[in-house]
Amino acid sequence: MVSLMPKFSYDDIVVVSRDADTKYRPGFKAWVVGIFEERSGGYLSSFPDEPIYTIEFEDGDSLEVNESLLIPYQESGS
Amino acid sequence: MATNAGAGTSSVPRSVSWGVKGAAIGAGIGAVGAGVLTGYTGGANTPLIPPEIGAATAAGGFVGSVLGAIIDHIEGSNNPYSGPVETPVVVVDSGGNAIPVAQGERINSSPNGEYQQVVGADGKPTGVRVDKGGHRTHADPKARAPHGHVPGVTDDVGNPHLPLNEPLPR
Repeated sequence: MVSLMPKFSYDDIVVVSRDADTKYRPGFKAWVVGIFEERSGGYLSSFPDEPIYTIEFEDGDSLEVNESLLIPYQESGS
Repeated sequence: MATNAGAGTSSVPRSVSWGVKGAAIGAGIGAVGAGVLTGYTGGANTPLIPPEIGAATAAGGFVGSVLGAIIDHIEGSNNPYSGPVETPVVVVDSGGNAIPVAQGERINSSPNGEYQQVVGADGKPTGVRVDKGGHRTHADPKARAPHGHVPGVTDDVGNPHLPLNEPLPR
């Protein structure tokens, strides 16, 4: 059970940290389309114990990423 | 997105409105009192027939007991907004946009229902998703508008942001 308050909300625009693994597409802009505050099933258990998000990139692809790998998007180009 | 799959067009016998908050009825309900539930249009936790009424009538007679059982079933394991469903359901909004939910899957939704995605039994999102709220400032107008996603499905120009039907006027 993840009980931490999510830092981001739906439709927030984020950027994947440049320190993230390449599978998370570091440096890319994305929108928050899913928030997991609770975990069920084995898939999410592989993530760190913090809120997990589904984010959608500009090309429509999406993936799950833990909160610490996301930073708020700045209009100037975060 | 299985758009336009309204009641009666799905292999699953029950399809309902998710409205703003979201709602669903399990396919298995059809065998018991399906007609009673035709008008179910509330949110995930706001059935048209309140649970307390169902409980009271259940104590009073057979009809009530059936009603109570049906409501229990709705709010139990076959509501994809509450958890994995035991039998397949199709969630349909007032515009006829449908989200098929297979056995063991559930729907993860934003509080206002603007963003909903199907999550598999393993906890991994399947990629079937409704983004009614769109994505603000997105360069693609199709992505800014309400849209849906189905893995491997694009529109006629290869865009993965699939159009949704607008809600029917009341």
